[in-house]
Amino acid sequence: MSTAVEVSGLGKTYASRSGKSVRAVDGIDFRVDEGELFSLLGPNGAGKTTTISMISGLVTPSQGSISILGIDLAAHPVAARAQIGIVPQEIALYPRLTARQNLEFFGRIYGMRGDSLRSRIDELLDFVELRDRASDRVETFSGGMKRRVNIAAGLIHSPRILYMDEPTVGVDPQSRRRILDLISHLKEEQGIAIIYTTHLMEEAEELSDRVGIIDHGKLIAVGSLDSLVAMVNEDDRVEIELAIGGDRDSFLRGLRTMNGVSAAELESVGDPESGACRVEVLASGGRMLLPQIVEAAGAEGVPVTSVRLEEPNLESVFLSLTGRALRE
Amino acid sequence: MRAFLLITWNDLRQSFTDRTLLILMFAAPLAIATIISLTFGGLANESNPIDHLPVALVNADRGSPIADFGEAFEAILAEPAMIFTGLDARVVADEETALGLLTDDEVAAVVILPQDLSRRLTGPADRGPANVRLVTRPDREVSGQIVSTIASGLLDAFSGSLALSQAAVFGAATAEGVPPAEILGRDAFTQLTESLQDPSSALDQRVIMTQSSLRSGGAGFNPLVVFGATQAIFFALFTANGNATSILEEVRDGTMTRLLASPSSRSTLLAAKLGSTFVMVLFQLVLLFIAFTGIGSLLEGRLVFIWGQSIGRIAWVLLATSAATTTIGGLVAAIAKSPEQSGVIGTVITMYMAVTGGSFGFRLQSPIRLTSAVHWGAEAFEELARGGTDIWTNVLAMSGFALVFGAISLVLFLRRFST
Repeated sequence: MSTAVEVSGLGKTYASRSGKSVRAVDGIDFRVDEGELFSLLGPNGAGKTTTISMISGLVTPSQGSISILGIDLAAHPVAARAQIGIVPQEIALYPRLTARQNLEFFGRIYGMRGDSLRSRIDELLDFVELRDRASDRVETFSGGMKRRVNIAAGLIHSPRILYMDEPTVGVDPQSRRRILDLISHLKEEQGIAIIYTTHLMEEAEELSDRVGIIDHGKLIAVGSLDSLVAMVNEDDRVEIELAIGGDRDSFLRGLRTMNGVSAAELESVGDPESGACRVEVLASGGRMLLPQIVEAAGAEGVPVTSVRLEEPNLESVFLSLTGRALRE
Repeated sequence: MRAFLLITWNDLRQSFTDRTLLILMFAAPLAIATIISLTFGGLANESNPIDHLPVALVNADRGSPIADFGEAFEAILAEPAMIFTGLDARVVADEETALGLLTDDEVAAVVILPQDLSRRLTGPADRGPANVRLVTRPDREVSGQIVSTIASGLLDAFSGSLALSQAAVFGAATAEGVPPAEILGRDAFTQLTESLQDPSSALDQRVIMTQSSLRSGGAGFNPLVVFGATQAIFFALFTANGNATSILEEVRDGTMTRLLASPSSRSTLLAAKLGSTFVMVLFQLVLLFIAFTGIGSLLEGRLVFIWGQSIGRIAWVLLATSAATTTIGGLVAAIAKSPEQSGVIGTVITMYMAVTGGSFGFRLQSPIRLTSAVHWGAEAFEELARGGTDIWTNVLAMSGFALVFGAISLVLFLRRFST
């Protein structure tokens, strides 16, 4: 797989009004391959949009280099920009124009014309499922529909690289689901390299091949979801709720001897007279242990009312790396 | 060039599907200028104080053996210390010079005394009346009426003094029982004696005052020109401001992000945005001027080219005016930090230019008017409407506006988009 985007030592410093310099992005390095979806995950203000703006050619970096399909962006900005499609955070469309007119205009800006432009517009309108609304003004669309046209506009010139800056901001869950499906389709079937910024961990987990975690302008970790989770070395957490009955102590002893379990503790929950209690188990590979745990409970005559598994995720990775939650 | 044309076309397409904008661009200036010129006409443009109305006096009167009323008229008007008339008269050598002053709006009216004024006044009535001409500006109707009243009053006074002389001579002749000619006894009074044969002949039979306005031929002066030109440029400034502000709106809405990320240079994009503003303003002015021609023709009942016949010069003024207004809008948008701020600053500057340039009916004589694109544009259109050709100073001034403001806006925008 060849490299689509390569960023090296990228930094941006702004002068603030008080005269102090603010380092928005501080020496970032990463690489994105063709057909790969790379997510930049970080809280608001972490430097995601500045990074995207620099690799789109919209903002001039203070330091570092950017290579787009082997083209140096600083040396050949026009040629490099022709390979990139962008889906900005805002609905970057002309509201008084129809969906088709918007796509036509942006296509022409990229030098497309005639039948190839018309067929590409039809193809994209089908892709975003808005063919039947093609002749309606964008201002009459719902938020989700606008977002889909926004994506189509970024794809109009068939770019090999697509930058998507929080493309699901402000849409309802149903529209969000549709947009995420479109993005999966782009990655899997069209082989486009996608750089995706989000502050939503679930989106990054669902879509990404690799994730870069950015905070205070620095890329603090890069890797696949599994490798990032492995990096923080946290156990899975299994919570088992039990009703009255059976030999709880024996069940607990059994749990502690299971392979991979590092701790198992019993605590009562709710009304003490009900006798209900909960066992919290910390273990590596908790998902694999679940059948074994349920089987052990049955063997000891302990009735299990519910089982819940919490595996380490990007949130816990972020918490581990920065000492604060992603949504703070 | 492709990007330039595309962006220009895109802006025009969006603007011409915006009904509110179309009303502001076309209907409002047409309606306002027409209503003002029809309803208020000359009243609205009266900026001179009525106690010192500037008047040009052409005294062609050669006098008569017994009196020189022209000289008397001149002395009274030109030396206010003698009799206060309320007029501030300048005696000029000939009619052409006087009309030139009137055309340039330096005087409110021109009074032309004919060469036979004294002879007609003192001669027999059957010689016909002397014709004192008063030429006014249609946009200074009140001034014209004041001058007319004062001039008529003076002529009445002359008549009164003449009648007094007549009465005295008659009285003496009757008392002595001799003919009036004997009382006078001198040849110099022959004419007066002749006039005394018909003592009942009134002044209005000996002198008449005819009033005309500057308008003459096809290239005449028309209030619609004054109000039409100033209103058209006033609203063109709004259009320019609105369209240039769309650069900031595109930044806010994200479409500028898309354009800047496309393989087009920043200078092309910005030039295209200003270019579309220029095309829009030019289109607006051309349509408005055609519409004003139509309205003027309707009012006249015949086809009248109220802007004059010099199509080439009209085109030059239109282009220069469009360029100046475009770059004023561009500069405002370049300075402002948001579309809202641009709207406020643009409105303030447009109102300033309208007030100092004469869009609201009164025209400043102060040099401050030279800072207004409305002044330069409207003055050039008025010159052409009068059949004049001296528009190049105005074209140069507006081109200067365009070059300076255009360059500053481009530099500011490029700096903003190159962070």
